[in-house]
Amino acid sequence: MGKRAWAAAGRLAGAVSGMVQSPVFLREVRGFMRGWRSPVSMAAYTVLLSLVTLRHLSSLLFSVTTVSGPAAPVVGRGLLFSLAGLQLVMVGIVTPAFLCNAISGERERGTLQLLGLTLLSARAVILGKYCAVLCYVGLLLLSGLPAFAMTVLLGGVSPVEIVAVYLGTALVVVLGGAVGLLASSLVRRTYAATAIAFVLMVVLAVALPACLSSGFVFVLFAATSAAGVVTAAARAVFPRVRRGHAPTRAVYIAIWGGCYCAFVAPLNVTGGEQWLTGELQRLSSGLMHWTGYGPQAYALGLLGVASPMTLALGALLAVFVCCGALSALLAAVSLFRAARAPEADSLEAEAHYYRTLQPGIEEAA
Amino acid sequence: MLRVENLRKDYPGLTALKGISFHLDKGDVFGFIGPNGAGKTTTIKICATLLQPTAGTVYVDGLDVTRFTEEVRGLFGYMPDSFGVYDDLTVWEYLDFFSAAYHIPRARRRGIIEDVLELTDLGVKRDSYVEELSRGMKQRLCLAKTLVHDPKLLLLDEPASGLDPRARIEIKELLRELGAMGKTILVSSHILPELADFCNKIGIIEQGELLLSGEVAEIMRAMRGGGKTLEITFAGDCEPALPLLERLPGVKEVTRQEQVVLVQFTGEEVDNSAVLRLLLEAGLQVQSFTEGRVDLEDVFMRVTRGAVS
Repeated sequence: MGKRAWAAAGRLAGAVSGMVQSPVFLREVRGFMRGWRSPVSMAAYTVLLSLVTLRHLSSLLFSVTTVSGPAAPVVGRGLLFSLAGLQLVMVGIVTPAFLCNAISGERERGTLQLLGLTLLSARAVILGKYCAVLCYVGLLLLSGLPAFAMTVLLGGVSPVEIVAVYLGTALVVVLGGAVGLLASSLVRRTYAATAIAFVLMVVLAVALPACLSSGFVFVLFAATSAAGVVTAAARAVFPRVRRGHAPTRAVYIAIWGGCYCAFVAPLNVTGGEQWLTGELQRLSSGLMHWTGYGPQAYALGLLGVASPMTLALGALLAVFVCCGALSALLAAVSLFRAARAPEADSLEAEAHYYRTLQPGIEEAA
Repeated sequence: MLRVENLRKDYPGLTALKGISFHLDKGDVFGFIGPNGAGKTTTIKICATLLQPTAGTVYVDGLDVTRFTEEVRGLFGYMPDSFGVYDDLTVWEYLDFFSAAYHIPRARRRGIIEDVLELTDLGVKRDSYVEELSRGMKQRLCLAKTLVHDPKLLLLDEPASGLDPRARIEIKELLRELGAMGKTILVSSHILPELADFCNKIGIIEQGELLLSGEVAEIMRAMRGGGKTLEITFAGDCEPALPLLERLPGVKEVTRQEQVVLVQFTGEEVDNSAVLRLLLEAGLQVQSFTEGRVDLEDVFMRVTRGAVS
């Protein structure tokens, strides 16, 4: 067993050393540390954390002068929750943003072809880019550590809780990076990749947990199924739609109007409107609950600070997140592999021909 | 080294390549000439495993590029007509990145990069950022990048496009040097003088058809049709020269353009002096006497129809 552990540790060390020497990783890290994005985001991040810390400390100062204010441990705990929430939102935005141009940026810059023709494997390229951003965001998180240390100084927070918060944040980094990379491999343009990554992040980190906690997800499923049935029926009735031609606006109005009537009319008749309103309220409270307390509660529960149940839920969520991130990374690897394969129809080449060859032929004719 | 067989590429409503074939032996420098949009880039992209042909096969060192894509990629160096660079790296780091990407061991990289920098004359710029380089230097850097893994075959798509005359000459010299090093080179251009000096084979392509391909010397010989044109300019009246010239053995045709007389002549080099002597002995005032040579430009103009430009 001991030998196996040593062998595993050796393999891990080999993988880390291989990654650190990987040309893509080195190039990305150099790019990050030389560009303007790195110092600006690090400065913005630490300034934000400092402002939040100051805001909480000011309430403590107030308590010293007027006696009736909160005790230091209470302020420390409040500060931890604020910092954890802010950190989570920040890395949830920054990590996918840094990876949104990972592949699409190469394409836009005109370096994708040259990179694709090298002997680097698709996995080495994707992992190199991914690990470089993870390292950079790790540095960002470390730069916020002094602010978190302040909560321990104030009392009411144990260092283990800070570790738990950091572990929870690390999961968001892992997922956010993979989502950004996937979006960047999926589409040709960085702006489209950014939009896709943020929509995915909102769905994964906010909307999905909120829907799951409110039960509204069933309504969404019902609506989607109904729309699907109506669209299928409309395609059967209107052959133009089936052939792939753009349907007229009237067809769209008919489809969605029918869908709306089919869905809303029964609600009005059976008194389901109140039920829907109730569900909507539960959705909004679920959303508030998740964004306000969910990540912190989960992060704190991760190391067993709370009950074994929260620990188990935290571990389960961690497994889910890691599986999601892994799937996204594998998908990105496949997409990159496809992008470097010989193109059946090169859009660029086609555009080139239509731009240059065809006018010449017409002129000659 | 490179064999292209019946290569065809169709796009919706357009055939970019209409079954072209040619081959390059080891050490050949092949000039791929044709107007813009003739199909040069498509051919090179297919050879470089970037584009799938509709039909036909390309072999690099005996390997089919569509079947052995990964294996073939280590055998050639490709320089596209337009390319991007990693602006935030220095010249040294840029070349180090590509050497590592071609799995060159760390210990060997330093020496190789030094050699390539010297060859491309970028040694003084080794610590400059790529974004600070001029366009000509970036072209040379891209060429340096294609050389780091010591490929047997170089596929260069318009390597001198968009460069000023000096940078063009530098690139030309570099290609000449690479040819002398024994590399097999396929270089495309729509500007003939760029290629005329150092290619031993040429291929002329227009509208996806390879109109002519082969050894430069053979093509020249074929174009001359075993003859040559003598261009004689007279200072005075040239009318008496015409019957004299027409009577000479080996003269096919004599045409007059004001003071200049063009003689289609099948004789050898030594016979030129006999023609000149005849004219001088007849008391004619010869101002200049030159042999008009068929060059690649003439070949190009005769072969192409100028449908696309």
